[in-house]
Amino acid sequence: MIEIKNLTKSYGSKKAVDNISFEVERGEILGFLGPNGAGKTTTMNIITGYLSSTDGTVTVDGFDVVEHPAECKRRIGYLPEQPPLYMDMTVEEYLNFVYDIKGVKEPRKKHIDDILGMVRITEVRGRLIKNLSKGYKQRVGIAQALIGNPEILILDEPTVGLDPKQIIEIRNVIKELGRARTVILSSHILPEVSAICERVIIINKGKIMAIDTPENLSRALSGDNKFMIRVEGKHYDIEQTLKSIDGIESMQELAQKEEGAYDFMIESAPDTDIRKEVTKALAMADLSVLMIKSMDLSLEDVFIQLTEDNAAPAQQEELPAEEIAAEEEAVEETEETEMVEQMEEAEEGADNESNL
Amino acid sequence: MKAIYKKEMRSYFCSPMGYVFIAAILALSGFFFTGVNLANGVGDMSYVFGNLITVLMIVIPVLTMRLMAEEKSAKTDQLLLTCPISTTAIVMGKLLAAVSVFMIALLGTLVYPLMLLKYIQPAWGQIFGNYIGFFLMGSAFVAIGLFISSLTENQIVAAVVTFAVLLLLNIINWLSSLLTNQILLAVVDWLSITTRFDDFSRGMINLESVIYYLSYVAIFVFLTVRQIEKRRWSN
Repeated sequence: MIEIKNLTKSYGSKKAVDNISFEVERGEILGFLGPNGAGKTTTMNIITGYLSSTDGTVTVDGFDVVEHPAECKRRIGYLPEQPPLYMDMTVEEYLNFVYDIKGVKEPRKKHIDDILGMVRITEVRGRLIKNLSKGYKQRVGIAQALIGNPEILILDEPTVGLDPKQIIEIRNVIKELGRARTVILSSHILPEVSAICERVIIINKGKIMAIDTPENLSRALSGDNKFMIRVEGKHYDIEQTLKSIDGIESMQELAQKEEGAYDFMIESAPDTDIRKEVTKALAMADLSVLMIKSMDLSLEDVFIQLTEDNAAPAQQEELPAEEIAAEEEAVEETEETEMVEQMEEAEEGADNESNL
Repeated sequence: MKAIYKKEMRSYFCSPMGYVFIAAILALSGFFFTGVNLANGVGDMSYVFGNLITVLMIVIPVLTMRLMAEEKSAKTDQLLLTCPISTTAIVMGKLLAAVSVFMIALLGTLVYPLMLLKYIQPAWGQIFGNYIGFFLMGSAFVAIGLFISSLTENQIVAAVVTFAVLLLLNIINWLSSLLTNQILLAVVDWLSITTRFDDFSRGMINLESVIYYLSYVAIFVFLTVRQIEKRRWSN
């Protein structure tokens, strides 16, 4: 459906997008993931024909974006990072305007009514856009992209700045829309991408770091051969028992988190699973296992690993235990701050609602 | 193009902009008309239009400043440029909208020659020429303003620069007396946007002057389109 070949966009000597290639299949929901400034928006702007590329080609449904811009644009609905809204129009006037400039053939009233219903903004159709809350503005932005029933939807950070409730609603809307359409969606929020998308492209500094399903990406970087275990008992006994087990390649003690119990990081040869042996041996020695946790990296960890420095994709690094612990903490911290942010946003959202 | 035109017209008349523009032209032309034609019983309205050029140089930049600059600063240009319409259609829609507002103001001034009928015989030839010439010249002003608006995101900058450019084009023929180089003289003569208007105000409508103003419009429409396209290619 969309084919991107060796796409490059440079600003002066800086390459915003550096020789990236990928394809998007019909009906797929593709996530575009990367830190801010990674080149997501630039890539999307090139696909939609807003910017031109320095090098490389983009074809949409067989049409080259540069040579047949109108054919491509007709097939794409685009929601830029900042929704392109005319603040002094009502929702309905705005959608009618978009209907006109897109030269849509479908019956006007029904088409616009359908879209209003689809993104659930029917109740604000007569209101001026500038008076809407951010969540509603975003939905009007999505509605705009849907006018003309394009086969492809390109959404640039569709949930940024919304409160948690609105985020969930918008995600559901996107999932719904993705059933019959090809969707490219950019985000720097990982749970969002893993929740919505079938395939993920991780991009950093203009380069593609990885393309795969969210599950595979997490799996590729970890396995069952590495796990953390918390055992209750005497420290000496635990250590001796663990040492007696065959197949443990490395063992590292982690910081103690529970009184009377000790945490160990255990690693076996790749593609082996020795959890059974370990728990059995510990049980025989009358030591109780309080917790066992396989070190599957979450998409979050994958993302951090891939975007950190220039880590090559799908290549696991040997991390000493302290670093893993530190990384875990870091992840927890980001989760915490995210929650705080979301709560703050929720408050803002509530303010907006009361302004309505 | 029609959609853009409609949107711009709506934007002019859903805000004070369109009304203020028309009111300014009507009020000042009324002032000139009363002072010259009514007070002295003159049937030729050339003085009114001669003075109105200065007014036009101030109000046209206000009319055109937002055309492209606003789209850019509100990022709504992303919508327009990713829709299946050509850049030329966008630019033409905007040009025609601004020209229409100007034309409405101009049509409003038609009551003055009708008032003259009551007292003296109006100089219809001159009046007709003035209207045609003034409309053509105003359209050229609009095209210049539109182009300058596409250069910046800031509407005030667009207005000030447009005013400066229009003023310069109005007085550039002062250079003629200083220049001896034939080519430069020709360039100055071509740029001097108000010189051709003199023919019109004497009631002469020659094709060359009509084409001159239309080409002014065409060139600036072309430049505006190029400017918008160029931004896409910038690196």
